[in-house]
Amino acid sequence: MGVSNHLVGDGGALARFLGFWSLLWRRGLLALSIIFVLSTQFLFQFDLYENYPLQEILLGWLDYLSDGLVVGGFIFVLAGLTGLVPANASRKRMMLVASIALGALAGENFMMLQAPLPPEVSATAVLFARTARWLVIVGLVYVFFVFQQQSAEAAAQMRQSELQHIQLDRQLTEAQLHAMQTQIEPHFLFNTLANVRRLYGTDPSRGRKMLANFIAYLRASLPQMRGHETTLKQEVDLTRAYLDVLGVRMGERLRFHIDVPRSLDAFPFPPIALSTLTENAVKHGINPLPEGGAIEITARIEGGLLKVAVADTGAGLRGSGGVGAGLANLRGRLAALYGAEANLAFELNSPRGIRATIAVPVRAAGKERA
Amino acid sequence: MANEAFPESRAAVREPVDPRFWAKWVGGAVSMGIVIALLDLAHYFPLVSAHDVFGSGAILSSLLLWGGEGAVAGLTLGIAEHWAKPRDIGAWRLAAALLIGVILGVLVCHTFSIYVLRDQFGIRQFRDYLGQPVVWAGGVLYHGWLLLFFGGLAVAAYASLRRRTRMVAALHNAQLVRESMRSRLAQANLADMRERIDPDALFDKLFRLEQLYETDPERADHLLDELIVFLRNALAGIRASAIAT
Repeated sequence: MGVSNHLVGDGGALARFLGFWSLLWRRGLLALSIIFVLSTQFLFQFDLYENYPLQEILLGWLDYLSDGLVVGGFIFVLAGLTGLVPANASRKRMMLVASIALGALAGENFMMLQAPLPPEVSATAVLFARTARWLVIVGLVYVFFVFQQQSAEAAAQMRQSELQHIQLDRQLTEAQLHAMQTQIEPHFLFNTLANVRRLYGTDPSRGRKMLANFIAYLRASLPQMRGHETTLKQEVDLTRAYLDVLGVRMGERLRFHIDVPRSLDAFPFPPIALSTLTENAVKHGINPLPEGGAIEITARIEGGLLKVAVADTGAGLRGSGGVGAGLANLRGRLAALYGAEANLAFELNSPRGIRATIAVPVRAAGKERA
Repeated sequence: MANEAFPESRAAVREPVDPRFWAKWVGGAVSMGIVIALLDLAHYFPLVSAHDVFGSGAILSSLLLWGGEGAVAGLTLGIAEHWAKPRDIGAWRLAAALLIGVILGVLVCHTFSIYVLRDQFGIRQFRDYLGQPVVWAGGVLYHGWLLLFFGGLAVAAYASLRRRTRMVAALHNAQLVRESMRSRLAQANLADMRERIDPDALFDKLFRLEQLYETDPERADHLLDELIVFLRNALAGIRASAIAT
C-alpha cells in the first residue's frame, strides 16, 4: 500500500512538474517570438540604410535584440513569479500590471547602467517612455491570454454541460418509456372491472372467474409495472393471463394457442410488447367479427433476432381503423430501446387476418435497462 | 462549437448596418493610433526636450497622422468583418485585413500629409519639429511597422474577446436548454408517478372484493363502483397530463 501510494503521489507530482514546465516553455516561446518581432523595428529605420553598411546594421540589430531579451527576461521572470502568488482575480490582475511595470523599469534601468545616456537626456523621461511601451505590449498580450483562458473555461463547462445534456436526455427518454409502458394499464383495468361488475349481476360464477383471472393478470404484469427487465416467459405469462380475462367475456368467440419453446423463456423481451400486439389483434381482428376467431402466438430465433409473432384469423385490414396509439407507442419504445435493429412488421395471415411480428436483436436485448 | 450552438442565428436576416459597428472599429483603431502616437511622443520627448522644440504643434501633427492612419486601418477591418457577415471573420482574414488596412492607411495618410499638407499648405510634420529630414519612405516604414505590431496585438486580443463572448453565450444557451430539460424531466417523473396506480393497494382492494362477493355481494358492488369511479378519474387525469406534457 505504501509503495502504491508513493507511486501515485509521484505520478501526480510528475504531472504537475511536467505541466508547469510545458506551460513555462510555451509562454517563454511566445515571449521570445514577441521580443524578436519587436526587435525588427530596428530594421524598419530607413535612414540606417542611407548612412551605414549592412553589416553594421545587422550587428546593431543583434544589439537591439539582446537589449529586448534582457528587459523582456526581467518582465517575464517577475510576472511569472507574481503568477505563482495565490490571490483573487482582480488583485492578481493589479499585481501583474505592477510586476510588468516593475520588470520593465528594472530591466531598462539595468540596460542604462550598461550603456549610460548622454548627460543632457533625462533618464526619468526615457524610463517612463520605455516602461509605458512595455506595459502596452505586455498588457495586450495579457488581455489576449485572459480571454483565451475564459474561452477555454467556458468550453470545458460546455463539454460538462453537454455530458449532462446527454444524461438528461436519456433519463427523459426513460421516463417517457415508463409512461408509455404504464399507459395501457388503467384502461384495461377500468374495462375489466366494469365487466366484472356487470357479470356479478347476471352470472356470478363467470364474474368470479373473471375477477380471479384478472388478479392473475395483474400479478403477471407486476414486473412490467414496476419497470423491471422482463423475459419472454414473463411476457407470455402476462399475455396468457390477459387472454384468460378476455376469454371469460368473449367465451367461444376467442380461441388462442401459445407455442413458445421453453428454450426461449429466459430471453429478455421489451415489457408489454407482446400484450400490446395481442390486445391489438383482439380489438381490431377478433372483436369486429360476430363469429370471433383464433390467435396464435409463436416465437423463434432467426439470424440473431428473436422473432415473436401474433397471428389472428380476424377481420384483417377491414377491421383496423389505422394504427392505434398502443402500436405507435410500441414502435417508439422499440426504437428507443434498440434503434434500427428492432422492427415491428405486419403481414396478411392466410387464410385471413393479420400476422404481426416483433423482431429484437438477441445480443442487445439484455441492455435495454443498462 | 459556438456556430453549432447558434445555427445560422445571424444568417436569417441581413441586419441594417449598426453605426456602433463602425464606431467600434474606427474608434478602436484611432485610439490605437493615438496610443502609438503618445508612446512615440514619450520616446522622443527626452531626446529633444532639451532643445525646446516640443510644442503643441508637434504633438498635434503626430496625433493627427497616427490617428488618421488608424482610422483608415479600422475602416478596412470593419469592411472586412462586415463583408464576412453573417459568419465570423476568421483569424487569417482578420490579419490580412489588418495588413491591407495599415498599408493603405500609411500610404494614403503619409502621401497626403507630406505632399499636400506640408508641401502645399506649409503644415509642418513631426520630423520638421525634431529638425530631421522628412523622408516619405522612412515615415511609411516606421509608421507601418508600429501600426502592424500594436494593431496585430490588439486584433489578437479582439479575436480572443470575440471568441470568449461566443463561448459564454453558447454556454449560457446550453445551460438554459439543460434547465428546461431538467424541468421537463421533473414533469415526466411526476406524471409517471401519478400514472402508476399503486399495484399493492389495487391488489388489496381486489382481494377484498373477491371475498366480499362471497359474503356480501351488495357491499361488493358498492366497493366496485367506487373503484371504477376512482379509475375513471385517474384515467382522465392521465389523459390531461399526457396532453399537458
